[in-house]
Amino acid sequence: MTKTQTSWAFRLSTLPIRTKLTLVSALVMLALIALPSLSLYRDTTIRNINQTRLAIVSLDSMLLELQRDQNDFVNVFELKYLDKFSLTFEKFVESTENLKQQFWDLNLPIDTLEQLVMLTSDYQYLFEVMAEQKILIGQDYTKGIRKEINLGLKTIDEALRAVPNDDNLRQSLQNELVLLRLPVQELQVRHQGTQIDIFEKQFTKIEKTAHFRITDLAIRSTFMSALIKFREDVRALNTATQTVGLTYDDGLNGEINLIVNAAHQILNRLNTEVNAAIDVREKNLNTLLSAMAGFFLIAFVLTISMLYRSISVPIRNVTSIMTRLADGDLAFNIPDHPRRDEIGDMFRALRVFKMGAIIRQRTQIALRTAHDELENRVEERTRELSEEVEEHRLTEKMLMHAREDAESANHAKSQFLANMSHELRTPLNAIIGYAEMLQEDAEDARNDVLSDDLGKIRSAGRHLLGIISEILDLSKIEAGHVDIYVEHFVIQDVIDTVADTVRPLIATNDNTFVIDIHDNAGDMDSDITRLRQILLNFLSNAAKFTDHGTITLSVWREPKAEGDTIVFSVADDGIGMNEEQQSHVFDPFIQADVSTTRKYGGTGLGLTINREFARHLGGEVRVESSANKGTTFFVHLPAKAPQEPHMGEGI
Amino acid sequence: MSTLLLVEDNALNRNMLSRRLEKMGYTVLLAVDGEDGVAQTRAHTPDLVLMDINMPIMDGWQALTLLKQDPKTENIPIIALTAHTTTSDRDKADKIGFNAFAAKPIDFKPLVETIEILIHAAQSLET
Repeated sequence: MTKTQTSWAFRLSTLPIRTKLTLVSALVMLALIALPSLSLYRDTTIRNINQTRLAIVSLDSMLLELQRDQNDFVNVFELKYLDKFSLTFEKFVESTENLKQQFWDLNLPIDTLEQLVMLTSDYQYLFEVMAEQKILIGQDYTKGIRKEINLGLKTIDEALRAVPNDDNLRQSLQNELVLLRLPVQELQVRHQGTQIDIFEKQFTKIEKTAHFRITDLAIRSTFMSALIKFREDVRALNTATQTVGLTYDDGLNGEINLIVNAAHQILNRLNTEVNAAIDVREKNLNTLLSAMAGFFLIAFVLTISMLYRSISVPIRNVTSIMTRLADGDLAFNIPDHPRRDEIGDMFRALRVFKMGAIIRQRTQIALRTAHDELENRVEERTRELSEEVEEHRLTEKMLMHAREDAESANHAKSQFLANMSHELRTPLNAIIGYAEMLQEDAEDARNDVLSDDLGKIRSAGRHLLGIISEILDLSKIEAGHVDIYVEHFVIQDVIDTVADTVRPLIATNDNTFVIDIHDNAGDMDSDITRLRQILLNFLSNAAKFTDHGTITLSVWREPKAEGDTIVFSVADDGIGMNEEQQSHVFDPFIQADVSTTRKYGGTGLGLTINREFARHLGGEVRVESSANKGTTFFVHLPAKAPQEPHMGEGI
Repeated sequence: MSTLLLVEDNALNRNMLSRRLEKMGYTVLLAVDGEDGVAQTRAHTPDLVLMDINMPIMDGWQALTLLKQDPKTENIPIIALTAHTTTSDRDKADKIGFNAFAAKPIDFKPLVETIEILIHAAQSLET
């Protein structure tokens, strides 16, 4: 039993959910149809049974009516009661037929009804026999009177013929006589007590007519006596018939009464039986209805619990699993769901999903680990970098401060030098001026010795002035006070001017001056004053360090894509410099040799100034030299100097 | 002979240069700063002014500007005397209206030549 149930339950539980739902729907539909149907059936049955009960009651009343008719007939002996009886009996039979059908339909015990039908049928039969016998006996007994009545009618007709037909009198009387004979005929054929009353009325009417209208006394007397004779006969017939009918009794009536009583008893029994059957039937139906309702109730409960177990519970499980999965909790087992329905599919899908989630989680963990590691590394590196940056920043700040300090110190130095140069130069101007003035006076006085000495003062003063000027120039360059004025000029003109200026100086040490201007030199845009100064410095420098040699000033153009360059070179074949000397030749206050200063004089600032000027004009200076073979200075300048002067870098 | 006004704040230089110019036969008036120079020029209308640039109270630039704005003195030639030998000074002098420029220490012969040229030019302009 348990096994069967389990397997049934198992089979049911393996059904797809939609099938289950269909089954539940079918059950609901069935209940919705069956319960009201049964209820309706019950109500209908009970109604029918009640109708049957009513029919039995009416049967009883009909039986009573039959009895009344019977009694009326026996007591009054009028045929109308016989008719009435027949009519009632017909209805009674009809009712029993219907009732039989109902008994069949309702499956009620029909035997008693059959008994009743048989009994009432006997009753009717006996009653009719009795009635016929009574009538026959009456007719037989009244035979003589009937003959007399027929004779009386003939006598009346004869008497009527004697009546004159004045004013249609005879016809009127004849008509009225027809009306008089009608109840008589009725009385003769069937005994009807009421007919005698009709007869009496009509008779009175004719009597009056005859009395007033038949004027002839004889005729009237004849007619009236015939009429009265007829009346006497009719009255006699009526009385005789009634008397015979009432008095005749061959014992049948008693027997009939016994049957009727039996019928009544049967009817009562029938009533009791039917009531009992009805009660049983109603009770059964109600029980059936209750049972069905109970069945459906239990079926519902079972079905719902089955659905709950096979759908709601697993779905709740699925939901909780999904929730846990969604929360990222993967540390649990998805229980095995053996079913092959949608829930089972869901569980299998969840397993797959969980596998995916686990893989994803592992990937994520791996990714996160990698990410964290990377982040740590980045953080570490960032920290290191920020430390480095901070360090850098501090260093930079320190450097900047140092640089600012240095710059401001340098600026202060330059400013000081500039001021000092000015202050030095003013008295020097006076010295030189007075020396020149005195020299002129001495020349005028032809005092050659004095003139020569004064010339030495003047010369020394000029030299000092030159040194101071150079210091001032360099100070200005360093202080950033260099203004560059670019203008267009022909290179040849600059060379000529410079050559004129420097020629006496070069001649001082018996040097030969060679000028080599290349054909492509052409013209340039630059600061002519600065260029002149650069060339003068180089040339005077060469003149200073060369004895009995050749100083060559060359210039040429080097075409370049970004703009042509003009190269000036000043070459000498003097003492030359070694590499160590060359590397410092453009540094300020440095000469190839400390002894050089003593021997050759000069501030050693000229070359530095040249370098700065060249830079300001967008170019550069360089030197090629070897000891005892001579030196060549080059200045490369762009043919078009930049409008924005290149600021000197300071020294 | 022509009259010159020497505007120079340094006494030594003023003395030295005035004596040398007087030796050349000029009548030399003296002023000790820019303001004095402007006043003397307006008072005596010299044939030429030698104007130092670096001076107290009013420097050469300002004095020159005043003189060149005044119709009475605008035609008097002015030579700038300066220790500043840079090109910018030269250009500035040209721009403001100095008629000539002499760097200190002064080469006396070229200065006298310049003075003569300027005075003749101014006189020919007047006539």
